[in-house]
Amino acid sequence: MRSKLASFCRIVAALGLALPALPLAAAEFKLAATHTLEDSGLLATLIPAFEAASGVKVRLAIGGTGQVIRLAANGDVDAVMSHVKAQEEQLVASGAGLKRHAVAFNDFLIAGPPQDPARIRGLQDAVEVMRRIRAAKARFISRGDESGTHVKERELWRAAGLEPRWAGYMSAGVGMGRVLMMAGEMQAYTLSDRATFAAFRARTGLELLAAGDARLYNEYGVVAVNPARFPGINADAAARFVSWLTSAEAQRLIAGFRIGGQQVFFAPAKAR
Amino acid sequence: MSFRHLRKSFGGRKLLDLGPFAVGAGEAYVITGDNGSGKTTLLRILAGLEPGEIAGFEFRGVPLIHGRLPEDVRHDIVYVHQHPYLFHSTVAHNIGYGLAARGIAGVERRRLAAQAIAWAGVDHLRGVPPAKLSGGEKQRVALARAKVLKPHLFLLDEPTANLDGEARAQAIALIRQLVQDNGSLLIACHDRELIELPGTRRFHLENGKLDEA
Amino acid sequence: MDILASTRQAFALLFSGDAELWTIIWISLRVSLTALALATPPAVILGYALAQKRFFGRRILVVLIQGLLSFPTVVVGLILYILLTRQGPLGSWQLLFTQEAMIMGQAVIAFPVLAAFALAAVQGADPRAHETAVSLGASPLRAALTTLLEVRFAVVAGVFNGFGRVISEVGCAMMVGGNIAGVTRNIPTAIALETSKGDFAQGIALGVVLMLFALGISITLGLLQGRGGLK
Repeated sequence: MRSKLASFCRIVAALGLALPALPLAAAEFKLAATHTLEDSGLLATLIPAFEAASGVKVRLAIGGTGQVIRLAANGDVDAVMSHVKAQEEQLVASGAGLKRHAVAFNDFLIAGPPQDPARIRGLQDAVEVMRRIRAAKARFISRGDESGTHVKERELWRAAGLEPRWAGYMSAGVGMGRVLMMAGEMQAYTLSDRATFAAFRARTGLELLAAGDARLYNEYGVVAVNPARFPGINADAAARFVSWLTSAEAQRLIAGFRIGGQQVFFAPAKAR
Repeated sequence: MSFRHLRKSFGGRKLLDLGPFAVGAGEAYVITGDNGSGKTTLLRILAGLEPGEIAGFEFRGVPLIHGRLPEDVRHDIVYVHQHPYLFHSTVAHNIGYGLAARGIAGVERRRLAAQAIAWAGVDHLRGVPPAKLSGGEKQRVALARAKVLKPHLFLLDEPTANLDGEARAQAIALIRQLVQDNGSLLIACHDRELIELPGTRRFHLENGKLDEA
Repeated sequence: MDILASTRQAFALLFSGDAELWTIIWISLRVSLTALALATPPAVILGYALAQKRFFGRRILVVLIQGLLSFPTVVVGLILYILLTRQGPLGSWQLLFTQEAMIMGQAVIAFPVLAAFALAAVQGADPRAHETAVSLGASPLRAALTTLLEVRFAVVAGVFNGFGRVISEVGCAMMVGGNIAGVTRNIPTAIALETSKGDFAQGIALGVVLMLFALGISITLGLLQGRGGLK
């Protein structure tokens, strides 16, 4: 019994001495990002690459656009990635963020059941798509959570001059992946970003029915939080992340990211 | 009620080892015995509340399988605990309980219950929650609750053991009436007054054997 | 700090009878109360049987129920989801993302709590209660009901406890309900959503409602304990 206690103490002491030797230089970098970046699987590719290149450990917080923007606005994270340019620029304008950088773009699309009861297959006009879905009173699932996708969806309803309120319109407050799963279960339409749709396509049985409208353009941006406003921020790591993300290496990774053999993210330099 | 033999053991020790025994219609037996002699156990076995080894168990000429008293027998043999348990409802509900169990309808039930309440002299306790009744009052309600069913056999376990003075006298008065009404009773007790009640035979339970005294 | 502003907004929402808010509260109550109504009778019957009868496997069942008391609700949600999904065995019922699915999940979650309390209640009952009932001629069914009535406070305490467990449960509700506004969005899933939107006023309002429920339950349980019938 005594020798067991002694060896236990020895192990604890050894650990205690070893701990300071662990790389303290790997201070944590808190990054907030939206659901769509996570659900598509892009972050799973980018984050480890960044950690390997910089030696910085990334702490990832995922949420809807509203939530992640708020995290940045409160200084709860060091940097934020989302896909609502207006909100990102608002962060900078309010002084909570340093500068907005475009990272990648892709587009939204309307997915739905193969039977396509609203007859929207192949349409290029996104507003017409919404009109037809409404007219057919087809089932439609909305993110309903102030996310970038939801914001885009609302824009489309506004452009169509329609109030989305009918028996089949469901406002589910969950992430994009889950909404796609639900749409699959209930054979409903939904607005989704291309990447998440591609990632979930096999599981949902939904089809890409309409895309290509310029209004469905979806740009992702990154903003580092302002250390002057929030002194405790890991500004160094944030700066390194932003410059890495906009570097050629990262851009190559983003362009090379494939889902089902298809490219789903495009470099912003090719943007309009 | 009669049986050929009745045995009960507790962990190897033989508590009861009784030979042929019978209680005839209208007969009242008082069973005495020291504490722990098994008086209560005997009554409980006859009531079907405890397992025991009985052979030739008969009630009103009908043979019974012990432990499985048929429906029409269950309220024909009524056992009253030493400390009677009254349901958390009302006095009237308690007294009417067995009647309801027999399917006797509301009006008739209330009439019979009222009769029994009057018989036991507990009319003034109608509005009192049963939990607040004194020991003596509970005993009288329990006796009324049994009597209203007109059972052919009463099994009374130490009915006056925790009572004294007025309460005891009242309980004994009721039991005397039960005896006079020609009910069959088996009373386990130490009470001198009950033992010497006119119309009763006395038995003594000792060392697992029951003998007339 | 805008938390204060949000809190003030929250109370304004509550007292103004905001339709969206009260729909969420109504759905919460409807789902949880229905689940309890479904789960209580079989749970009480099981609790009674476990307390009174000796049968093969009894001990295992008792241990199982007590183990299920703190069974993770997300796992209940997961199992239910797998059963109800279109490709699953019960897919043809099309119950996923409906209130019915939430009710099923909550009933399953509440069941062990109700059964455990009923079991404890009957075990704690005065044995003379059942004996008296039987001795007065009660059939086994009537005697069982009488015994349960005698320990009704303890059984009801179980119901309140079960209610507390399901009214604030979020894992299963989210999974099988999908947090659809006006249909399967109840208080806990709505709070989760509002927080993810960064909008605290509604979240705080709903949180206050939940806390009031919890408080109400504690107080009621305390009163029941004082009333007796509980051992």
